[in-house]
Amino acid sequence: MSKAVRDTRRAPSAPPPRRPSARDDNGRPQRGEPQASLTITAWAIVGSITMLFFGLVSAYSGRRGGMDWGAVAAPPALWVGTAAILGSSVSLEAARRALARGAQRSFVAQLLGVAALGIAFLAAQISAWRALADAGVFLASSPHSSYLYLFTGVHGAHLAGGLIALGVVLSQGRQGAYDARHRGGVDAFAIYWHFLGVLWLTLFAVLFAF
Amino acid sequence: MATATAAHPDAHAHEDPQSFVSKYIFSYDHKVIGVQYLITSLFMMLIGGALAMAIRTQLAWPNSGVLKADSYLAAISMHGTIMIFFVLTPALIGGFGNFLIPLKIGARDMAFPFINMLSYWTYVVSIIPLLASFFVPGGPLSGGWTAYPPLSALRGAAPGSGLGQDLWLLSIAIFLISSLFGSLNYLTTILQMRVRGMTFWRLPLTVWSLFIASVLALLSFPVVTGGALLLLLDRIAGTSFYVPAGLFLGGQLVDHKGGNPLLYQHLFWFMGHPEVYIVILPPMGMVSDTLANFARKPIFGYKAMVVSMLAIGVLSFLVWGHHMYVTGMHPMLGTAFAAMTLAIAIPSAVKTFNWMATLWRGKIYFSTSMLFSIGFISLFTAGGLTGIFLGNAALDIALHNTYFVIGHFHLVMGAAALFGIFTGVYYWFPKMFGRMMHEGMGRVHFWLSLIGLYGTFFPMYILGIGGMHRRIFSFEAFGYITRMHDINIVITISAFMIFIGGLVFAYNLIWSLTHGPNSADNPWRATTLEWSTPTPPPHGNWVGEVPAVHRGAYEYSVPGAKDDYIPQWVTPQKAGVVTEH
Repeated sequence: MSKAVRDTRRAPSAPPPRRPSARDDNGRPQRGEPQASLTITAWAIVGSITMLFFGLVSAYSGRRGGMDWGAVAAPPALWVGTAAILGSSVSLEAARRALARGAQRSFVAQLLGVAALGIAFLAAQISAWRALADAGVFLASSPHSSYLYLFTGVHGAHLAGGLIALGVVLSQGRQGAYDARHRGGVDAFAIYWHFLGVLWLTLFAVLFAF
Repeated sequence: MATATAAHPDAHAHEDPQSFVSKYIFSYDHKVIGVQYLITSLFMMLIGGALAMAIRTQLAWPNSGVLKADSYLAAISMHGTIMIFFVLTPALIGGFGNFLIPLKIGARDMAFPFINMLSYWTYVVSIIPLLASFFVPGGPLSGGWTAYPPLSALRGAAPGSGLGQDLWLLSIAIFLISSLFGSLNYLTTILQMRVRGMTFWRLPLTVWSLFIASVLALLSFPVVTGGALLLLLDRIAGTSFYVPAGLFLGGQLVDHKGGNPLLYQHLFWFMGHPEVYIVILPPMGMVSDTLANFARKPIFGYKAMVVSMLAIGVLSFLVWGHHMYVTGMHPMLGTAFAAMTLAIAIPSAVKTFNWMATLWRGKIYFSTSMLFSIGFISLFTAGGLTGIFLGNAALDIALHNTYFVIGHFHLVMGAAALFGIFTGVYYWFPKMFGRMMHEGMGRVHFWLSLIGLYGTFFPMYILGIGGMHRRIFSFEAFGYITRMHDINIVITISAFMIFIGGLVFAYNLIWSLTHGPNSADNPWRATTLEWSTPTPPPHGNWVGEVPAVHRGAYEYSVPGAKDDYIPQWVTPQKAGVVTEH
């Protein structure tokens, strides 16, 4: 292997500040771009978490009819949390629209709103747990309480992971890493975050509406 | 040239590694990670194999004192856990998946090299609690590799139900995360990073099989993760997901109420059955590639091969109940699971007949890799046919938990997958290390393994029909099993043959690494893209541009061509013949 050949191969490791064209003329991510890879991975993670909850909700529905079910009323804090997570999705869409029209400051501000509402959601979940504990309802109190703690806990853990991802997106966004054509990270995060919102609504309904 | 490479969509960014640590330990390079996976899982194979030898010694000579009743149950539980989760899965998916996917699709590395490195090191971390459980009070888990509750849910239920069971759960949880990282990477890489011209219908079957196995892992592992979480809560938080009411343990009424142990079996086998195919699909793919190469013929029915793998993948999610026929399920449900299970015989038979049709009138070259490929077909068939017996609820109720089952799954997934690993190692070793393996030792390894495996697992069918229970510590406890003592001795001697064959293999690996003859870039005269790289491939895999793909993966013995193979990267002008793929 000659030196010249090696140098040729190394040349791409000094990349231009921004990749030439991440999207085609229709705004769709091009194959082979890391941006599109991120959204594919986000969908795969969504599929994986769906299966996790598919298993858990199946277990729940099998147990639901038992004589010892011990139904628990929904703590009011869960409604606050539900409002927060819905608001965060709205805020996230506003952020993406801001990005699409090039309003970088508004984009970052809206993302900060998502973070604040996400943290508010977790706070609401924790206060719901505290309310349950004050009422003497613990993890092992009844089948319903076990599943209530389990679903909120596992969902909350995934949302906390989403907040970490949001931290990465925010720090990149503040440095201006995203624009209308380069937004794979934002899109991937949006898939994951909206999914957690839908998942929460589903779990909330499963736990208390049926 | 430089600009052309930079503009290439899959030109990827990480630098050539400089230090020893970044090159061989915490490497981002998919080839290094693949080899790390392989070596680690071969090491685990040694531990799992040693446990098997102890088990077999105990079964042939129950008074030899190798194992006590408690440690016997711990040994079989750990043998199963290690072989399935820490040998077959990581060697095939982690080892060959990492090494082969980018090379075969024309990518410079995986889509997310950092996550790839994380995947390997998470796997290493998952091994630590597992091996540590040998040294804790009570020893490792002893309720079988499936860890059914209530044995696994109550601390005092068995010697290994204490700390050993906790460590097992921890280990499996970490392993599942590691596997998730890997699957995400493979999926994204295969979808996104194929080189120009590499359409889905031109992918080698190895890549197809790894793609489908990744999807299965991605969708099935989370379910058992949920199941393990419930088990953990039952153990540490006093919940009653699995532990039923009214259970007495050591004369004491257990505090749990109203759980259902069968729930765990549902969640476990919903993962457990796809896991069987996660382990067997990659060998199917790899063997398809080697058979075509060594028979110098295109694989027979390429599209049928792909479709049958997809069908196996879909069906694998619908058959978990066949592990649970004796749990008192409704006969209608049992019939439905039996019908789904038997339906898997169709795509499996399509594959088996296609492999045989590939060999038909081929110019067969019996390299060691080819011997293992043919052995794979033989073992897969011998094991798979008894699956038809066990898939029928009526027969399974009689044969459940006997040695018939042990014989069946060891042949069809254990031995066959093992042969897949050996096929792959003998075939791709030159690409990994730049040296050929010793063919003579390879043949000794093959014959010891083949005769040993048949000698071990085929008589188990007879034991099973004779009524020998799978978790029995000593046959002396039951008079009717004592009469099968001789068969047990034959089995144990055969098992030692496999182990000795494995040691020959290990020696061959070490010898070939240092003394093997240097390999050409394409020693097998193969058509797929990994053979267009220098041997061993440098960081980034190709010097200069990645070659574009102009044809399917199996253009052997094309009429009118000057060689008996046309590699995928050869242009139609250069090949001199026009082919339709």
